[in-house]
Amino acid sequence: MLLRVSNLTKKFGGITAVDHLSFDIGDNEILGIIGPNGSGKTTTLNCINGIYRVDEGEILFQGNSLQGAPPHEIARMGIGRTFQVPKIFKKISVLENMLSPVLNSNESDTILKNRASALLEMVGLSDLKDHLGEELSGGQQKILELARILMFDPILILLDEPFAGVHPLLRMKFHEMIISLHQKKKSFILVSHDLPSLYLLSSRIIVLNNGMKIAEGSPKEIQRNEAVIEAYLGR
Amino acid sequence: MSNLLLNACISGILLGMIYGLIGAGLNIIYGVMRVVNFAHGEFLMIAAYMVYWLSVLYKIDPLTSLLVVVPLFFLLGIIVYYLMVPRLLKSEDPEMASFLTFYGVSMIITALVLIFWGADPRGLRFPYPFPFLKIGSIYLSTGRVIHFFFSLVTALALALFLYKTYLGKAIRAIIQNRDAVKMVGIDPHSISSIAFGIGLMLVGMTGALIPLTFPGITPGMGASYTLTAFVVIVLGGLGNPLGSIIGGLIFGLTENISTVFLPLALSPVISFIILILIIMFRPQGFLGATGS
Repeated sequence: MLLRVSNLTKKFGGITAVDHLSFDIGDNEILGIIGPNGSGKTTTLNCINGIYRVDEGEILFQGNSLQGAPPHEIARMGIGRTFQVPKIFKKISVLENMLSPVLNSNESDTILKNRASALLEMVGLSDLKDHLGEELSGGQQKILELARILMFDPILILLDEPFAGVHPLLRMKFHEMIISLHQKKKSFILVSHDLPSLYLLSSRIIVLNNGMKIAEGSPKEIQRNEAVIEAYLGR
Repeated sequence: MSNLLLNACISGILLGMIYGLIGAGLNIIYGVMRVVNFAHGEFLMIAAYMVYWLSVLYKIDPLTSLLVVVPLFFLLGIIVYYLMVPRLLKSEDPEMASFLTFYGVSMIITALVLIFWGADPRGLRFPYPFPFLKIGSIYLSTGRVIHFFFSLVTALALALFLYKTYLGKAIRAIIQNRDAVKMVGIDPHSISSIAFGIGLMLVGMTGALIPLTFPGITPGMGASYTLTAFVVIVLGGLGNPLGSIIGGLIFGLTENISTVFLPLALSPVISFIILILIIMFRPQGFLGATGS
């Protein structure tokens, strides 16, 4: 088991954002998480990568507890994360953004720059490598954010709304990247409101509502699930 | 008149570089942590007093005392960081919380210095052979020239540090996006503590050479340097440490050139008019902020 989330609970004052949530993700798996707004999807990701302290429950990554570990340590352990609003460095170049995860690397600049250039080539941003981060479109910034975390070769990648506000062509590029990385044995947790993309990419999906898991299964099972239809459409 | 103007320009550049370095220290701290160190000038004042006492008690000249003051202030910065800053960063408004906290620190430092060393101004006899240099028809204070060159070398070293070393690049990254650095595996706390250390080290270095530049050391001198540092960083760009050098030069030149044409009492007014204009029409400063 790559990641095990057991009885995860996160409260903000009197509001329980995530309520005794449990799920696993195996090696080389793409797990989708869906749910209405405020259902606890992003909070779950924030608990996994250490942005929020967990109130109850446990998160194990490759058998090691992530309890109390800060985000930078969790990143070094091999969990990469992207955000709905990409957190890139806007005032430095795309190439420098790519090099930011390996600032402290013992490898030579040439090797690191070659690796960054190859990744930018793969994601279709090589022509923009000398542009400032702020000169990229929102979709391109999301692709850059994903490419950047690949520099430290994560085992598990958490993607938060990667397709939101992204041009259809870039969305297809995103799909290709995720499939390609999945073939290279990367695992993903994919949080998205874009159900067609999620059905296409995920091997398994869990559905959250009010912080609780209301369904889990293959994309086909989820599409037919009454509780899911009710949560989304209010029927 | 032209001789007077030339003298004012040179004096403005010499002092501007010093102001710039004071601002750079404050700007690194603000840029990395969004902490408003309102006691910046008081730390400078402590360094000036340290050099004074090292000179009086142990006959150590200001340049030699840098060997003591610089590492001590770096260490002091790291200690102050771990004592205060992580708690301030947890506040809902770290800028306001730190402003008020460090305003309190500035009052405490001033009061303690008053209690221990009194209110009388203190000064050092110029410890080197030539108090003035004559270049053509221009007379320059040797102390200011020494201070200028130290500041220039330090500014160049700072630029190299920020652009060529891991720590420097990490500091620039945090200035741009504190959340993003966590995602790329950089520990923001250890980098921030070093940044605070560097900020105080820069102001410590400047403070140590202040007795060569200005005659009087008093417990109340810190406030005016804090104010100058704030003007300088707004001129150069908040969160842009190297922009502070440009801000310092603009401030120094304005302050000095205005004395040629206007009554001496008006020179600070001109600097602050420029400050107000910058805030109104170019709030990102001349070089722009590096923060996102």
